[in-house]
Amino acid sequence: MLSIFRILIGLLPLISMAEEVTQQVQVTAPYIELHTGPGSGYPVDYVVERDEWVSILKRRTDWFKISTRKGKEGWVILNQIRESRLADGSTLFIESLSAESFRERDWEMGFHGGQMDGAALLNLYTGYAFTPNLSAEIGFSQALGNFSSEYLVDLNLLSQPFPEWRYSPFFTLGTGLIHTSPNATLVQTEDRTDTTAHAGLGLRFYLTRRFFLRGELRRYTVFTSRNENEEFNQWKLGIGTFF
Amino acid sequence: MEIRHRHFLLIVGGLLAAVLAGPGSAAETIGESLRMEPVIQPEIARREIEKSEIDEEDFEAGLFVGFLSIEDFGADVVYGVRLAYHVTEGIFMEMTLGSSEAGETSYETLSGDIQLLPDEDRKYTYYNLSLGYNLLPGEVFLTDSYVFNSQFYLIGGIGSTHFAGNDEFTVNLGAGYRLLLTDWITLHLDARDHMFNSDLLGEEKTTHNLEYHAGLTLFF
Repeated sequence: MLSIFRILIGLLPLISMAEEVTQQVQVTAPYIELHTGPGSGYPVDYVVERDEWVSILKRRTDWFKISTRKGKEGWVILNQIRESRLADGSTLFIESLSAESFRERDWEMGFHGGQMDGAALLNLYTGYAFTPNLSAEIGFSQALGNFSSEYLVDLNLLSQPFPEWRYSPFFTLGTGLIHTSPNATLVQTEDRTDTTAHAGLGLRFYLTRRFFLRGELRRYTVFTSRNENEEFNQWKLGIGTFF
Repeated sequence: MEIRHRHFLLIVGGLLAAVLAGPGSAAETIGESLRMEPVIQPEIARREIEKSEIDEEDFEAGLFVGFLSIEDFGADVVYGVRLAYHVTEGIFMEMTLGSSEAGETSYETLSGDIQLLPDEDRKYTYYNLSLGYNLLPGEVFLTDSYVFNSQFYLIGGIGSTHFAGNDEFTVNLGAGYRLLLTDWITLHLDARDHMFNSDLLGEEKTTHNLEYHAGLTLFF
């Protein structure tokens, strides 16, 4: 039993090895510390000196798994290898995360909690920035009311007039679908799906590293099959990350 | 040393040129000669590494199976999927989807053929959006040759539970243990309390639905 286990464990690194892309760099810092895991809480168990060549195997958050020429593996934090030398003599440069990288993001994603028409709201969204000022987003929401549950899919364009501000306001305009499903404890009424349009305004605040906070207020119009259209407000607060 | 030497020569050269050109433009000429040939050559060009050149493994996805105790309705098997994104070494965002089946309340069992819920409403499904924090990184020494990294994490978030034909806003809180078999294959042990308000049995109350599960995830 134990031997099968050993074989399995022994095989695991081989499978992962196949997908790794390695990058050879020469250490320029006086020394770099190899931790046993990708976190500052893991102990340092090896030190690589200046001018030694190492291979970068993979990255997880701000930690890089490297392997020395002698085959020793360990995790190094970004700061210690970010300016190492490459084989062609140029300098490796890996940007550390800052408000500037937030401004230059391509993708963002996050989730919100809030309220819509008196019901608790949950939202998950992702967005792509075409330019620092303009992005497109898709969001999925659920509003949990006392009498019904509503599911929303929204597509929206978002304009951010001042991307360089840390508290950066934005305006949004979009369309989508709302599906209303009444709760079972009530007299059964039909499920229905309607088209919506919305306009909103909000604020992003870059917090630190890969995080930002985001709040938004939207006004929805639901184009119902009845005589009158429905209108309601939605607000939400959430946390997001970007890459 | 060499730099200082060159600096000195430049100044001397500049002074000579100034003397030859005439007293009026001495300072100007020194300035010019210094500008024309920089004393310290700038470092060689930086090359930014494309993201694709280094394999990034910040996402974690997998399956889990365990038990969920649904308040008043007994405990049953729960299974589901988890997707996490590791933002920093400490913080991760996690989305879970889970499904279970409610049993009978003790009232239903004792009374014989009375049913509070039709069978199709006994399905319990939930999703959660949570933030987790890796509180205690550690190592596990299995034998003298196998060492595994581990993390104990705290987690909490919001979500929705679909049960008895209703959708309820649900808050979850819990803790878990992640054992990294390799850098990218992990085992999870997780305990979670799913809390939501329910008036299913007459009075409105906050129900606590306790779940514990084991899971397998892969980093990619």
